[in-house]
Amino acid sequence: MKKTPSFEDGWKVEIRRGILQYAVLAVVSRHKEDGIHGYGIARELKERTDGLLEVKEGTLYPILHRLRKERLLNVRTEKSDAGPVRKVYVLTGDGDRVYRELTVILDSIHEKLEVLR
Amino acid sequence: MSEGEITRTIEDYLKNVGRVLPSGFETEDMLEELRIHINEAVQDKIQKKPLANKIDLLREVLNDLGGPKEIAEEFKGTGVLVQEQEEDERRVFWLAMRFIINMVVVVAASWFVSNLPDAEISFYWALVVFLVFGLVEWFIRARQMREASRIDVEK
Repeated sequence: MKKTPSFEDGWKVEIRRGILQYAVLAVVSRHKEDGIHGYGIARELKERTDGLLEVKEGTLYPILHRLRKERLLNVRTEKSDAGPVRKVYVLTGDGDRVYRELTVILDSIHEKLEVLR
Repeated sequence: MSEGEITRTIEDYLKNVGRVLPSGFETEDMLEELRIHINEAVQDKIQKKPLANKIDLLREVLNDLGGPKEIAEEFKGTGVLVQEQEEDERRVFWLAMRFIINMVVVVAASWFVSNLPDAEISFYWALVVFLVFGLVEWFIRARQMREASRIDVEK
């Protein structure tokens, strides 16, 4: 019998998805000059958040794909250490603007939630 | 375990991911990125644990990546899947419309040319010539669009 996910599990999935898109923008934004490749983003997310977001690394690629479609990220190619050409992600002008706006919104949400506690 | 078996394990994983995603250029592109990710992650782990078994390290990497279903779920969750299906349907609709309009134009032009006063061109001969022109134009345009989308993806 299929187990129904608990309230907090469902809530965690929903909130994680939204936060993850922001977190990807944040990581790419830290590498404005040189950009960063997919594996680098996964590693940085894991190291900087101590695995808090419980990211399955493969799920980052649909997010990167979506952010590219929304024209928040640009892609250029470079040779990888393992040999083949890999994609390097950089923020577009729009991506930078959206990232800043989201940062303000998140800070404000955080502040207001603190008051509620 | 041999290098060949490691490559096979990676290929099997990518094949399974490919099966749960919509077929198309974007999926191929993402699978290629996953392949590079796996290779880099394995190299990274080998550097950190040079004595460990390579296949165990590969399993760790594949576990970190998540299963094909999890990746497909994220595709659905981010709305990419729905968006691409809608785009595909729209593309097929416009392709069919273009084909119908082209055929109408070709038949009309052939009829017009074959009915010109003093013209000694048969309707069917004109039809064949216009169809060839239409086909050549179709292929050139398709090639230009493929090139444009490739450049767009690389940007």
